[in-house]
Amino acid sequence: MQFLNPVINRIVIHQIYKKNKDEKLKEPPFKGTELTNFEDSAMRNFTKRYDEAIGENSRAIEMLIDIDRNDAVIQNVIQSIHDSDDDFIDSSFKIAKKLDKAQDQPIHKQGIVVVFTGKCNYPARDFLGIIKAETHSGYEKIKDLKTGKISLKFIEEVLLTPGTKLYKSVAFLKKIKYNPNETDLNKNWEVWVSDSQVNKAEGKAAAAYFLEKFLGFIYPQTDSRKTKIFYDVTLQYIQHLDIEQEKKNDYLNALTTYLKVDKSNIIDPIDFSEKYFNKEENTGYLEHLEQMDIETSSFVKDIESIKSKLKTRKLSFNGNIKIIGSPEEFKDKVSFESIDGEPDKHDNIPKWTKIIIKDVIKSQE
Amino acid sequence: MNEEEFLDLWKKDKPRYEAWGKFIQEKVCNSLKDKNKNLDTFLKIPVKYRLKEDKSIVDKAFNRNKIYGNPYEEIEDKVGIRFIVLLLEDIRDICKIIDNCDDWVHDPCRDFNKEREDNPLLFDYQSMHYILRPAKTLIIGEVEIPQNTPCEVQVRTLLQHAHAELTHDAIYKSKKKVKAKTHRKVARSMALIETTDDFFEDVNNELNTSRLQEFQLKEKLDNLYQTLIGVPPNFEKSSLIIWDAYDDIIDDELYYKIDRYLKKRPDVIELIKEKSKTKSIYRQGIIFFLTWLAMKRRSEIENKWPIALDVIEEIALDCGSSYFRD
Repeated sequence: MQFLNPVINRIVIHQIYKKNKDEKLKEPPFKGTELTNFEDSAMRNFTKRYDEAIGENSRAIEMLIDIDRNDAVIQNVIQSIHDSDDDFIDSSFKIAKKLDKAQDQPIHKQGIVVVFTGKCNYPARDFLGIIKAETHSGYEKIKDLKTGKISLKFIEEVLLTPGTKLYKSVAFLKKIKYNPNETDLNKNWEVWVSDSQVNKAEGKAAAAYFLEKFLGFIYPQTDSRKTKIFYDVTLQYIQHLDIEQEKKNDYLNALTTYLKVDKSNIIDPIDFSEKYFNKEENTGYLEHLEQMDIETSSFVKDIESIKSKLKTRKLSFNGNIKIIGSPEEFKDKVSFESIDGEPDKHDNIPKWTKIIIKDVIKSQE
Repeated sequence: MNEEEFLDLWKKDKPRYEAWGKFIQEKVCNSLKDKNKNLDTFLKIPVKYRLKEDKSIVDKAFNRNKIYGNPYEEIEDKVGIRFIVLLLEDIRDICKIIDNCDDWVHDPCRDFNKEREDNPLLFDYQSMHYILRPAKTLIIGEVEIPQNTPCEVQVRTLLQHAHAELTHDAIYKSKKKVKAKTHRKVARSMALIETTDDFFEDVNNELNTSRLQEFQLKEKLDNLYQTLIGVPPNFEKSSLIIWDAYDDIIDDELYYKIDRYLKKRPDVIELIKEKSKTKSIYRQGIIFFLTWLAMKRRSEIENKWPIALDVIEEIALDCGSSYFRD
């Protein structure tokens, strides 16, 4: 999400608890009673954490508000963002309570719910942010002033350490053309979520309580097109790289694996690039995306429209010679390398390809 | 004109020669300052115009080979100025100033570059010599300087100067006949000096050439700053450390990449305008590169960023770019 010059003006913190496994009961949420006043450095750090989770180049994905839901959190958000400071404490607590309600399984972790409002971008737009931060344990460095000895003090509950995995972040950002009379919420609001669970295998289901039940979000429809563009543009980049054919084969396999086999629900072009390409190729790839006017933000994977392309890997030669196979088999059983061929009558040495297929010939026609 | 009349005239004319020498000296020095040269370091010997001493001018007019028909008019170094610099390119800087100034005119001067071409086998005294005369009659204070007032200006490297200092008195003014082998040594030392001056220039070029200069990126970004932000940018030396660290990614394309990115992001320009009121890094042309770096080339930050990390982290935060990724 574009998040220029963020200024957070009020923050309130509530707490929600975990469902007890045996009794299937849990403590009611705890309401923060006043606005949090961070010192400058703490505020900067907090803004930075949120920026890392939701800003440009982050793993956050853009979602849509489910307009068929009438109990969705967006109504509380609209109220909260316009409330006076006192009312904001109450209305933000309603948001925390909604999350508490959505967390109906013992597996859903307890944590604090930070609700905050502010402005960002040009022209300045209102936004409301929510962070659900799970607590974990850690240590604090302690230095004995007399002896200079350093020791560690165990801390049971630590929050918002670097590492976006340990918190879920949400942004409701007013669109430039925000109109209070507009009935289509998606025309008024841009909504983004950063939730590492979504990236994991079966992430959609695991994150459903947060994304759907609590936030009332749905995945945008355009992702199948975005996935196809990502595939086409990346394929084109790999095909035009000036590298050995064997390396190209590796990259094409990687692309297919990333789209077809990788269990993440998210396509993250930066992540793909950093994972597979070397530094120069990585830079070249990002430049290629820029030139093609393709954004690098993450989006939900949808391979529907490229399914048939992902089904086969193909090597083509002149004279209509082809080797075709499924990407998985191809990866395991086919290897090849460029070799120098026999000189022609002018003593030019042609390039040939040596192919090894780890199998016997099954049939010929 | 006898010696006495000659001296009387010279004493009467001294104020106008002095004024003319002073005028030229100040003019050249101010132009150097305009080019951001620090005179204390650029000029290796403090510059001071000098009137010829009475004894020496009389000696030149009457005693030395009597080459002048009208010695008073023909002696052109009655006032002289000498600029001593370190490098050949510094000489070119000063000569450019002299050549381009409209306040004076000069005949073809003594140019050691041309002398080298004309006499490739000769290693002799080298210096740039100009005789400058006012382009029109000048009035400075109460002194009138007519157009026929000459001033000799010499421009040399420190090494050329050292050579001249030794040879001028010891050789040219020597009362006894100088031996051939001494002449040979002087010529050899000039050859050495010419070689060394060239080496100095090479070393200086090697130390100072950067891709930043080659592609004039700083100048281009400064112009862009003036255009987009509406005020001239500042310059702080710390930016050179950053440029130095990123020299390898500077190429003829980089400016266009940054420009393209800014065209797509008018909000970034708004951000820079606003932050420039409070943060000095936003008042420099390099800020365009830094916002581009923070938003588009995070991978270039981790291993290369040469100064305190919070500088770029803060820019990334202002830009809303996720800098840290786990």
